[in-house]
Amino acid sequence: MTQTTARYPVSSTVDFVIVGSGAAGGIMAKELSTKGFSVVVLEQGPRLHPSQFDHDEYKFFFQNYINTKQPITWRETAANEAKLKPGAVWYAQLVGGSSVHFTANFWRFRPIDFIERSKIGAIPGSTLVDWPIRYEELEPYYTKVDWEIGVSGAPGWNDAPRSRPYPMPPLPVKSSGVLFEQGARKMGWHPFPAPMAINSREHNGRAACAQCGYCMGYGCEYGAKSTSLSAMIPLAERTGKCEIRPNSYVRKVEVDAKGRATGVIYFDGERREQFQRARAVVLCGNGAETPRLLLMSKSNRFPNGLANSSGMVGQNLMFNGGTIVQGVYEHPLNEFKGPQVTRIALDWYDSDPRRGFYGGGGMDARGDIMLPIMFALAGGDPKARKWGAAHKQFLEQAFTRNMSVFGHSTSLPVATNTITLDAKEKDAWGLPAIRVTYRDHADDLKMMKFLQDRAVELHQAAGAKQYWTNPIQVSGGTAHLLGTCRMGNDPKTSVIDKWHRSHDVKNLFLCDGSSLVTSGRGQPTMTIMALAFRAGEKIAEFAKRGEV
Amino acid sequence: MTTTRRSFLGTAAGIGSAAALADWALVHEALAHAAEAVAQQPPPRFTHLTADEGRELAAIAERIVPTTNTPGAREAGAVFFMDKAFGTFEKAALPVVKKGLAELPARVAKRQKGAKSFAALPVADQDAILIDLESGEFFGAVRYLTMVGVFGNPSHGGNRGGVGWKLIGFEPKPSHAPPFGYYDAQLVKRGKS
Repeated sequence: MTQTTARYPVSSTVDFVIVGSGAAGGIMAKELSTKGFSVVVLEQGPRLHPSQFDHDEYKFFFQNYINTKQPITWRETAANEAKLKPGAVWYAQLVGGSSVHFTANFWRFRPIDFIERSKIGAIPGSTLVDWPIRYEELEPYYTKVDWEIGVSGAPGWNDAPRSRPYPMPPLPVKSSGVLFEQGARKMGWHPFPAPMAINSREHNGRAACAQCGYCMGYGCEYGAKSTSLSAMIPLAERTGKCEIRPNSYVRKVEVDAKGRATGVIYFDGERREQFQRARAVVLCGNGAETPRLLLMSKSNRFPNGLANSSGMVGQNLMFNGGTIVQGVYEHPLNEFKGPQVTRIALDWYDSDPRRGFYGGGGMDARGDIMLPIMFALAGGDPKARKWGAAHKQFLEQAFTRNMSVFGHSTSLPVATNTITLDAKEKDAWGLPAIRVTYRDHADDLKMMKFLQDRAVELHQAAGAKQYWTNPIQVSGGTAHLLGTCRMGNDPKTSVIDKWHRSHDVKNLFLCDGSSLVTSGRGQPTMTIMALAFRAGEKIAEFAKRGEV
Repeated sequence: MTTTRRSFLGTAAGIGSAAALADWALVHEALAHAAEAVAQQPPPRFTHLTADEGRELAAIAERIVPTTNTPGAREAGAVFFMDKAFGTFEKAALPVVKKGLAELPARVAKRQKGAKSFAALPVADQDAILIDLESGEFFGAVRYLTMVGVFGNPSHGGNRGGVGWKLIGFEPKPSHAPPFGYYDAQLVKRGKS
């Protein structure tokens, strides 16, 4: 429907400018444009056609075809020197954002995730607080994600309360799902079909999954993966009110003398500076780019960065813990076929004081490195020599027989884990690079170890011939960027209110991973999307009432 | 897709099974042809490497993924991927590789007096040299490039005829259908799906 796609002159003032077109930005664009508002979406990356999502591991994983090439610096604590660490923050930079390359695990958060602080009390070294909203308030929007974005699944053990069933049955089980289910049952756990944002049958005019296997890190050329690009942006453009403007790199949110946002300054594809005026600004970058943009949007009025009177912009960064135990089985599984995950277990969701530390999580079975190059480089015993005749023989035997058990767990919010502006390194536009300061809370590491032990038990129970564990280490990279502009009722301790309005600037809204107050147990995208549906609806109401 | 291939599901149950060997017999025949063609002069032309560098680099790649009773880096043409990539995405690796190759003759001479090249050494000596080098930047780069050259898409200049994929049982098909592997197939057989 490109013929009806809106085109706004840069000189015009639109109702909303949205920065970012990913999980949150795509939904925000659809929600606001279908309610009649004029919308411009500025996306850093290019617009790709699904036919460009080919099956090329070298191109997607090593040349970073759709991933950001932003310089990232990294340090564990503020006392360390931040060093360049390419690829350490892994987000997709194209229309549709990281929803294009996600693995599509769509776990709803559970009611406990929103009220954990008041249930378990304070945790030393963490800024854990309750959300200003409850699961019940978000539930209708999780259901919108199920139906409007498209989620396949079936209710499992300890399922979150849901007002409507899944729109699609689970995807066909893979060999890894069968082994996981058998092993987990032997252990007395409660495995069930993985909820996945992938069509198991045609849904909303989009195709069913072709089981090609290229989900994690790739775009879906079939349109079967339920992303902002496949499910939301076409609806936004069809309204004739929404323009998606790719290759637009925003460097500053502009504010007038009254402290109202007037629009954003960005570099266009020819690196010319442009100013897009808007009645309201919605930032939907991600948990790294949104705080970075606020910190870069300094002015006399906002010397510490925009919307940062609390000093909380960029703080409380959370990743989700992850552990992988790779195993090899007697017969071929062929994990390179089909979506990454078909069975999960969430038996460890609640934090259990008997474990002696805080934390919760879940597990799935998947071919984590199930494509040839990655497996050749990293498959098998971490201590073994990964070249030569023995390694080659291992690859011949194990490539089709490999299965990883992946543990996903909580990250506690810690004030000193942050996104800030690097003092030295610059990006390709001469702007300060993203600087990550991150050291997992000690309990996060204990929870990872706990799930690693469960993953070993799973492999043993499922009959693995061999399996390998790695020592648990502090996180050194992430695709989950959470908590850096947290939501809260108190302007002194949070950046946005429960409707995603910044406490400091009335017509500035933030909605993406940065809004999350806690990390959940992994798989944050569905919650980001539910928040975007809820925020979009409310922001439209505010605008209709003249309250932005 | 470089070759039309039947499902590997049945054969992969035992690499070395009769069916798999039948496949490899065909491959070997093709390889024999290829080897013969390679043996004919003139030597292959490289764009970013000299002929000497190309020969030495190929010899290293052949120890990283050796040709055994199945094809390796040689048959995959891994060095040709590298030569092509040095002009594009792997430009930054070229100086590292050139420097490493330039330092090789000293190591070769240490292993065997009068030896003309790494490629001419017995494989045991080659491996000993590479083990010495394996924690360094040069070997790291060559190992990575070899793996891409053997297991990456043939469109990048390596993995000729999809030999790397065939070697490990990867099926480069645009789509798949269940059953995917042994265990889900068993489940269907038992009528419990």
